[in-house]
Amino acid sequence: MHPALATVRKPILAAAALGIFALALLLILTRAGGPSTAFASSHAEAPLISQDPRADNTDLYAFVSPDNTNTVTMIANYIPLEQPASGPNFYSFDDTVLYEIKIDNTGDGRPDIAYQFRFHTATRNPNTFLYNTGPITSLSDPNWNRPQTYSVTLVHLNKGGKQVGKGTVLGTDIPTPPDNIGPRSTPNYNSLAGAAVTTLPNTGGIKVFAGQRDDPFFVDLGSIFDLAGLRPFNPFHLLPLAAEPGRDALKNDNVHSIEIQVPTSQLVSFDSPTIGIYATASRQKVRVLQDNGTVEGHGPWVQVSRLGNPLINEVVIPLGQKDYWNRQDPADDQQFEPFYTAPEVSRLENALYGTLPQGHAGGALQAIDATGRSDLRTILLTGIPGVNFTGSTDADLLRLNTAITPGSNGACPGGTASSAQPDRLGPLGPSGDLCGYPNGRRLGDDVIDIDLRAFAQGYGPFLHTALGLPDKTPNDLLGDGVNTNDVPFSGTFPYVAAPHQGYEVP
Amino acid sequence: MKRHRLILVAAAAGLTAVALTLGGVLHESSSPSPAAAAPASGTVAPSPTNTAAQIARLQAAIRMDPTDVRSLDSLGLAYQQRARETGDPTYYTKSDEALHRALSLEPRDLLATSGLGSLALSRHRFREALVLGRRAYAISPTTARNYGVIGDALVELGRYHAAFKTFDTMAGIQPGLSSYARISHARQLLGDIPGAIAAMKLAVDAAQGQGEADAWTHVQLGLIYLSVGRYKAAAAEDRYALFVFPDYAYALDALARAEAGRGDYRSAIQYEQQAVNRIPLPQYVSTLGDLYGATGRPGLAKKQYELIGIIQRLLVANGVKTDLETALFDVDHAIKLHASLALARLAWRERPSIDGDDVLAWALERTGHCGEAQRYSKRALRLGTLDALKYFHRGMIEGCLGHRAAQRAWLARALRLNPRFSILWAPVAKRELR
Repeated sequence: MHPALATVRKPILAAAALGIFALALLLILTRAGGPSTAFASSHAEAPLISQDPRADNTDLYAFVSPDNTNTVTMIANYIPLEQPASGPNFYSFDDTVLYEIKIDNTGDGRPDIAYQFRFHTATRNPNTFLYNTGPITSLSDPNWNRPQTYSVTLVHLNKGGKQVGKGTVLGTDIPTPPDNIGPRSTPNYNSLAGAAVTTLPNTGGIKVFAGQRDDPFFVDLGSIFDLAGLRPFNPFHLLPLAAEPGRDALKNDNVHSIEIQVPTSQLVSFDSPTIGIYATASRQKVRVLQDNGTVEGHGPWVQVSRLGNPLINEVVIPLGQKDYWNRQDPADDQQFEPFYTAPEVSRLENALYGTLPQGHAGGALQAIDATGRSDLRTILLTGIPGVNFTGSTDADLLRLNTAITPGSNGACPGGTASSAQPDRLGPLGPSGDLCGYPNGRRLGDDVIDIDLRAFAQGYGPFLHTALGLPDKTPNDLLGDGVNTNDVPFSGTFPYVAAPHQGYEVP
Repeated sequence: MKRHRLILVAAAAGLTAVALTLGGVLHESSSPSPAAAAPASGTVAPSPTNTAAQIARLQAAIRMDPTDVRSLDSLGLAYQQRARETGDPTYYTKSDEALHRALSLEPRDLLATSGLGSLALSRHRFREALVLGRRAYAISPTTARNYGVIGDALVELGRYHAAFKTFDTMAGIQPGLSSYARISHARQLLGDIPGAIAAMKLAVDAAQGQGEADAWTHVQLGLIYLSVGRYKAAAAEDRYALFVFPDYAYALDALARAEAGRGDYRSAIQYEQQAVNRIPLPQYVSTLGDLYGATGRPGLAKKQYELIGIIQRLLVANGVKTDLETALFDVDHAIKLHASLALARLAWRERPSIDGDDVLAWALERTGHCGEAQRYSKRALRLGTLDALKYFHRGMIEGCLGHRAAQRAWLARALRLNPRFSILWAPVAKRELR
């Protein structure tokens, strides 16, 4: 590098490095597990920076079920970056965590309905630490030493967000499949997982599934961690490299999914077909001096993780507020609005990939507004008028207009059901596929590319024409080069692909 | 003064060599142990090889851009994890450098500030830790770990009321492994053993599948069982920890003490030797020496005791305060008793916790200042902690004051709670009661 150039670049790089935190290090901290220092005095030594993967929402999906359009499927994933070969202590849900999927159907940002999931792990043989002592050929196989079951409870909440009544238990002792270990421990994995798909009796046909699955998220973390690199855009980066195809960092990773398919009529209110969804994990609050009558595992609860739209905590919320953000309810999200309307990511896109003067001589992107971004507020906090608008209340919810129904493959170009394949870019793609993110979120929606383009004001021709949103070029071509998941999804519930097997994946 | 430091540094350098010959203690983990494949990767506690690789990556990033504050932060924290994994205190010095560099670039950096706070805790510089924890809190009052730094420091400074309030706040805003473990510790200090077990079980659930953290919570649960004489339950937790995180030094040491509790000194020596081979922490070496002494091998015991002085010097050379631990060791082993009383007084001023109280009380008793000893012993027991060793110390103090009935009551109480509470002193308590 020319020395003069180096001095010019340094301050920008330093600034970028700080900002990159937004895109990269934050991703590490929240998705990938960050610097994990666990040390205090020799007496306590309890970890100070600990991840909490079992109570960590990784992604939320919600879509009108393509094979049953009278229903909505919601998928909340937990436990990031599961390595398939994870013995001796395989992944499972946490018996002491309250998992919830919450729905606002009145547009005030507060949940009106919540589905609560509580897990219970049995130990069939107390004389061994082992997960299984032989092949697991059915969900009741005695060789499976640590089977996990769960209950589902439907709760209604009032305007203040408080629970009304005791809630309705929709099912108990529902089985989960084991983790996918290998051909000896878990032969015929698909039939084991299939046996765990449960239709809850007397609920109008609610289907549930909970257990290990392939992580349907796809992203080139390796490049994004490296100063927000996007391989296809390598030549235009402040530190240019040759262009390359993207690499899916989550290839071969698993996750734990909670899935529920509910008749739409049970979810929407009279006024509007659009619902706002978020998923949470809560842990029991404890005190040094125990309150009388406290039972371990039964609250009071503190929300430690939430997820509506993808990547909000990673790319929008600054580090010092991450813990706090996770504890807040979507209805109170107005306090975070400045981070949406003056986004760090847009500033970073200008600095790293922009043309002069906001970027550098080798840059390519048109100047991006890094302040006054009411468009991002619309998309992420209130919904898009005419598509999934829920009112003026700011709330980070995954908004789904249940009246926009897809064709058999999940697509609805221009808002009309079609048997076409879904557009990975949803409404930002050339076909204007309104069945994709940010109208709900399908498994194949490329939310990284959608976000990169939205933050760069490259909304694509459809939204430009329909809603007048800016479509700057080549900003509308941004992407990490990873466009699909490593394995195909299924066309039927539970949709998410089977988990990678430990035996097969090193 | 200057000369003194030079000698210490030389000692430290020489020491590394000594330690190396003593069982490859400070080595980089060479062969990929099964732990490397544990689910730790990517979640909480990286396996040792992982941390080393992470450090190399971060060093490379900083060479590329020396002003990269985030990488400096992460490097500083990774060095602390490495210190935990290897017991090599030179990583503290490296962590200190990296985090101070980050702070010089960005004076209000959250991670560097709280990272220096946790470093100060590791170095037993609790007043410093408190200042840093409060500074981190001022930068981000909503970040849970800042409360951990503050609360841990307050505990060691004997300011329990404020510490417990801090832990309650921490657990109120972010329940999870870090806060559950602290609530458990606080309950244990208050003598609430069932409550301590319940909270640590929540920590166990939160840590499951996270390698070192998983093992750590099981060891902590085991130590609670050990403190009340439930040796079998303790050993089961330690064995589980070794199952999920093989060769874990903390688990090996805890298992050694559980085996000693069951009276199996042969197994205890084996496990403690393994623990010392992994990480030569002074307390492990001391326990090993005591075990040798108790099994009629004073020569081997003496060798261990000699090693402790060397390790302490290495710790001191890297900024760790070891006054309290050194004082207790010296008093227990009747080494320079009057000098160790002075050291215990010094340590107490730095660390007026119930442990500081107890060590000072014990040093006073051993040097015949029994009236003053009783005052400190009362302070040491003021929280109602169920701690057989503190009961024993109190018993000996009462004996020294001629209060025979009180002596017998305290010694009996110690043995009832934990019949083998100490390799050195439980037999003495039994003898005194005869």
